[in-house]
Amino acid sequence: MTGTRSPFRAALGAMVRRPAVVVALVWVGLLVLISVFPDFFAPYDPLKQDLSAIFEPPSATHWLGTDNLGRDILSRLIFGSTGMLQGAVLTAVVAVVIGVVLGLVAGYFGGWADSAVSFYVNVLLSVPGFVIIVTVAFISGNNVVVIMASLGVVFSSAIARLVRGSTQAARNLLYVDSARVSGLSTPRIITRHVFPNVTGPLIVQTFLFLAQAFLILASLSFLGLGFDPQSPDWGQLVQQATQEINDHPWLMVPIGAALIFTVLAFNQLGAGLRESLPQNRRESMLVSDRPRVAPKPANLADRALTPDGTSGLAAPRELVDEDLALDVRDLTVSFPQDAGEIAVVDTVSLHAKRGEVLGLVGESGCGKSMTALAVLGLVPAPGAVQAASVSIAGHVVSSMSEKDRARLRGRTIAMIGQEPMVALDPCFTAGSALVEALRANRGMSRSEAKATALELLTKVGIARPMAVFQSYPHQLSGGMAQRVAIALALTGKPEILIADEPTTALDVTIQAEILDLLLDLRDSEGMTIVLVTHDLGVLADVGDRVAVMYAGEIIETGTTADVFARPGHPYTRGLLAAVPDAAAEGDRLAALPGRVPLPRDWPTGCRFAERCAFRMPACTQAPVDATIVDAGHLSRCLAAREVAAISPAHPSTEER
Amino acid sequence: MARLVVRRLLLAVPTLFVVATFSFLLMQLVPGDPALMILGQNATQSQIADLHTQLGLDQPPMEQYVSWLGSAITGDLGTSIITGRSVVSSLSLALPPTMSLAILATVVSLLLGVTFGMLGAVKGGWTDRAIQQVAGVGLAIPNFWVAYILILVFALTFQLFPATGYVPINQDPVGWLKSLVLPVASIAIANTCQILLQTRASVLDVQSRDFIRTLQATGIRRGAVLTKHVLRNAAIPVAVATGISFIGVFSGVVVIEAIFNTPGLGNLLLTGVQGADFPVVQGTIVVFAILVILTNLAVDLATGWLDPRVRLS
Amino acid sequence: MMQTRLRRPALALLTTGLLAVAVTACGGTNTSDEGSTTPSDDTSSAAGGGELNIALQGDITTYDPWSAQSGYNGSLLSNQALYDSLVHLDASGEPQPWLVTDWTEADSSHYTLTLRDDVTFTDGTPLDADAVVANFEYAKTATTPGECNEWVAGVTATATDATTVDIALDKPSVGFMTDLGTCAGLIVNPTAFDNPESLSSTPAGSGPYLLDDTNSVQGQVWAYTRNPDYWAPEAFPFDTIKLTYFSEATAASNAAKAGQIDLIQSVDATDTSSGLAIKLTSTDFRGLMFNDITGTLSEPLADVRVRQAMQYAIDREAIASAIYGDAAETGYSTPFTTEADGWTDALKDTYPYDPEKAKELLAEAGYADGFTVKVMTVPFIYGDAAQAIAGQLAEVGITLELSDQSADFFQQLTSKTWPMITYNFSIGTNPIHTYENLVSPNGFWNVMQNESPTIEDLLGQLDQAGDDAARTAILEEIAKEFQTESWYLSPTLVRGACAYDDQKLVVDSPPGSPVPFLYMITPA
Ligand code: SF4
Repeated sequence: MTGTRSPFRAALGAMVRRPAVVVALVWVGLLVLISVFPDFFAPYDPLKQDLSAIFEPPSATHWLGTDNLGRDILSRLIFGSTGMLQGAVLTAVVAVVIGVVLGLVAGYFGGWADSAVSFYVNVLLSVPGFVIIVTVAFISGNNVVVIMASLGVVFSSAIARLVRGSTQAARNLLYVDSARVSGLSTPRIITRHVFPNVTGPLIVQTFLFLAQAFLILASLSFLGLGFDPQSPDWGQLVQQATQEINDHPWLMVPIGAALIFTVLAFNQLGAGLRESLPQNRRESMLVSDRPRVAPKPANLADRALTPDGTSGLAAPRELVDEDLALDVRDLTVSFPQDAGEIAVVDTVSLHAKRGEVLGLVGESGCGKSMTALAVLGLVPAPGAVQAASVSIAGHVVSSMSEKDRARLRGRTIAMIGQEPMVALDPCFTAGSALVEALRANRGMSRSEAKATALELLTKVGIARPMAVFQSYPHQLSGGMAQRVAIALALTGKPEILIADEPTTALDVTIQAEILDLLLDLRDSEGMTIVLVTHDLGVLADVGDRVAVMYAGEIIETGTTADVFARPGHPYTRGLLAAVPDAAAEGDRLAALPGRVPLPRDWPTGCRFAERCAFRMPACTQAPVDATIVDAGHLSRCLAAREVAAISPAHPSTEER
Repeated sequence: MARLVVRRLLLAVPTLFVVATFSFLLMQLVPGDPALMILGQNATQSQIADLHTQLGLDQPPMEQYVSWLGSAITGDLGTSIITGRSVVSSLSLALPPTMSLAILATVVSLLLGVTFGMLGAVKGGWTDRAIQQVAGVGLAIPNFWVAYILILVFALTFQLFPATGYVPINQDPVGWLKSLVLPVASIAIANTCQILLQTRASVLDVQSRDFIRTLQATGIRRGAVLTKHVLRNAAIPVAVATGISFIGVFSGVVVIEAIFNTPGLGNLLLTGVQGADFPVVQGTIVVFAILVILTNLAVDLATGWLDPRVRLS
Repeated sequence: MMQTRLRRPALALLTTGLLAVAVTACGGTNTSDEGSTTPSDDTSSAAGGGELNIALQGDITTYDPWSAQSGYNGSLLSNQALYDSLVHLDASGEPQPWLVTDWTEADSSHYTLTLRDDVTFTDGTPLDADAVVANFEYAKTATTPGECNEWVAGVTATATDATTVDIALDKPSVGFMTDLGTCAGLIVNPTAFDNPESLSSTPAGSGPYLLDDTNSVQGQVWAYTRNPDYWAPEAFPFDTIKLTYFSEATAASNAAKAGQIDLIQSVDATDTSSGLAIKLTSTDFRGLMFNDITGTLSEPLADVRVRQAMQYAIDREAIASAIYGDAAETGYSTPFTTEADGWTDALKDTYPYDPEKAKELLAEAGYADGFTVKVMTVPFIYGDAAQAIAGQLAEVGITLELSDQSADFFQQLTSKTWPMITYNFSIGTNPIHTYENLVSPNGFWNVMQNESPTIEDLLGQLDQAGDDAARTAILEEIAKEFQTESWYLSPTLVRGACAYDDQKLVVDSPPGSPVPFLYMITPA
């Protein structure tokens, strides 16, 4: 998604777009500036006293008033920031240096070193940090350097754990791929594989440490520890303010504000960056009960949304009167982005007859999964769906409330996902998930539900249903988990099953079993199956009809036999050529050079033009409409017929 | 799970040993002669020498360490050099107030933190942003200032709760609760914010997981997804955060107990540190370490109970 | 204004010493040899009742008065509740009959005490002459000697009959009877001496109150209820007393404001944050001290002109009023209060605020460019004033490097590594003991054993002084000499204080005691 930028740089970019973060950055920047050049900013010598003007309120001469010896509070605040910031930075540096070194050693060497570091972390986690810091402050005679360094040691455990985890992961990866990366030196391995992953979290932690260090110094000062009584020091200001709280409450305001703003700013920076990090920027899967109404997507050319669906390259008229299980017309899904509303699915129309297997094919990022989700009504917020109409087994869902639509899910239309291991709630057994779904979908009693669940498990080909019933998802193999997921999808006896890459994450042998299972179910239950996949080869065996997607739109649709025999679009041709058993893996790139354009970069004309060997000038001038290749076989290509006329791209389909 | 607990307990032994050794070493660094502190300015050399013998300070540090550790294992942490009281009895007096504080503060922060964290995550939008900002400020205010403000408002102005002191629960349960309201609130504000932010983050994280989609696709109602599945999964990191904030109380009490004159472990540590009363400081650090280890164990048990992946591995 | 956040044991001990200096000195110029009033005449209305809530700044660590350190901790109040005192002191520090109904003073080394015959300890053991003798004996052998033990260290006591004790001192002490009204006259049940360990945790007295074990928690709160068998309950009007230890001064203030506390045993005289009335007690002499008169650590200090220059460089009035407000008088670098015998107003003019003069003197001494000197400070004793002084000395080019050494105050003090230190001691009603202490090589505050033959000589002459006028003349000399030699850079005289609820209480204390006495706390 991020193109050439590193994920961390992207996170930084996303972070600085938050207003709170901008305010925090300005404050911290100011703090750094005044702490480096206090002489320039401070109006007075911070030690310059005037015993005739003590405890003065703010005035034109002393903006923040004066203290107990008539010293200018603003100047003391400014000069004091130096030590405070240095102390906090020292803490962070010590924590990061110790933590990174220990984490790397533990993660890289493992074994004995790992145990030692774990023990170190354990010991540090076993004493309340502040208790140690108070003791150290007293023992060291208020030596701020010693105090802050000790605090850094206390904090280092968190960093060590972080880096250890990341290093371990990188090391495991390296052992697996050792043949490919041999020759890399350890430092390069670390800089290449460990640091990119930990930089973000590390910086987040550092900001949080800085905030913590400020708070802990303030607490120490409150106890009369950790600052030099004479020099201008935030600690001294804190202590004086708390001492004089009854007689001179004003003193609390400047130092209080400075301290709270600073802590807040560091926390903001930490939190802002953390939330911008790619690993933490995942969208909610929970569908909103009030869908967003989106403006017209900015990346779509003006194209009339024709209600009859022809421009959407979908159901040719002759098919519409048939008994359609699924009928999607002009479906558009868009998300708000910095560049405005951006469509990721562009005016897609699809249909599937009862009992049919419809294959929805395309590379990752082409919008096929989003199309499937839109059909289910599960597009994550803040996505918005527009469609001329979406009908599921006769229900026109596009005009339904979310509540009504939710009732169809599970009973009329169900779904299985591509990662069976994460598709099940890890906290509940397979059995309790099935029972919950059966009770919700069929209103069964607990015991009925259990019996039915066991039946379902048997039906999806599980030999020992009771054992699986009692198992938690993490105790199941991938194939087993996918069978459970399928059983779950069957709890509501749906008419349509959307299978989004159901076999991608599975072993090759299991893949075939799962596909067979799906076909059996189609036959026994009379279900319509929408099989979303990136792999045309899968469809060759199971698909009745195919819709090929590219860059948010359907570029070719027809019966599997037609499309495989006479692909009418250069992209489909390329895909067919890339089917694994057709060519060596290396040829895949040769067959389809380049990459899918990002939605925001969609051109006005043919979106495949950049990668197309058949490109001609007209291709890039205007949106390309559908061309009929055969009856029921359409392609969004100006050269559709020519492409279809070329000899088959796929040897195995040739045999058919 | 049982193995995990046993492993943890076994690990606790060397950990405690290291903490004990560390606290002993730390106190070796304390400047000043405790005998001088006790006897004051009129001490004669022979009195000092006598007291050194009495306190065992004439022994080489290694022997002092061995004998201290030996007694510590049998549950004898020595006697305070300032007050002459048994450290164990001082600790047992100081434990109830601190534990009352820690438990009440944690219960309050957990209830409020989970409620508002969940609210923010689920509602989103304006509510979420407001909750986040308030929590951010709550984390940035030093606890002692919170305490001062609470005292000013609730003890001095409205006289609703006592400004200082602690009433043992067996003496007067209502008085006990009243005496704890303000110190608990002082600690709970930051802890609530911490748990709130963690809850919010966990709920959002759980919401982004695939199984939430599966559940909805399977026909489970939104409400059931939230209350049964999201909350249950989010509870795991929240349990960890609660443990961390419980442990954080043991840091907070050093300041808060001083302000409210609560006779707890924090106060004991502080007066011990100030008086270079090394048996008291060593004993207090060891007890803190035990409390932290037990807390971590409790967190492990809680996550194990909540998370079958931990329980069954 | 300036509150003491941490009242460290060091300070508590430090000020106990002051009690010793101060109260030993009490009555030094007055010889009490009559004393015939009965206690009941002394005390006001007996019907008081109610509870007295006192905030302590120190822990009560023992119930054995012969092991107790007094000062700011609560031992004195606790012991005055649990034990009877041989004599009571009045507000002017004069000893008044109590257990001792009558005494004679043959000379200042020989006393005869006559005891009441109707007092028993709580276990029924009679409090008689033998018991008193046993106490003086025990005082000499206590393993952790209390603060007052040394005052009776030279006592040879003999019981001539059940109610008469003859006392011989190894050296004359005019204030001896006063001492018996402080921590040195509290009589313990001699049966408890067999087991000092147990005495430390279980009181064994005959005092007006009993320890209420169920409501007391070691190290936190101590409750006392009336001793039903006490012989003079009217002298102690409160039915119950509760002492609560506050390690945090602000906490005590807040407790008082919330009505939980009637009396804070010790506060800074400027600290009105508790909302209570302030009662000034002892006078403390505070400032910076030139330890290094010989210049071994800091050469410039050896030159008296340098020390004098520093006196000219400070604006005494400004510092005293800025730091301590009304609670301080301006000090003049001589340990004499303006009421002291020997004080002359001329002393005020010795070192007027004159930075120019200071610069001249520095130039004369060869330090026109100033110099830097290390100062050991204890922030809660004199931190702010030390900073103020440092600020003013900076104007004439002298840099004071203030260094907080509260952690190991005693160690540092005796380490002889600090050319200057902050210090604090009480003057007491007999300042001569103070002066002796200051110049004596064994004196606590004469850390580097400096010698002043002139002052020592003058002090010696005091004994031979024929009349008061001659005595005053010598004292005036001493006062001036202290200033000329310039050992102290002392711009302030600070009053110690306690804070009390004047709607509820009347509080008094003998001069020199930094804390009020229990029997001087009565209902308003
Ligand atoms: S329209 Fe043109 S560019 Fe697009 S696929 Fe067909 S030939 Fe290629």
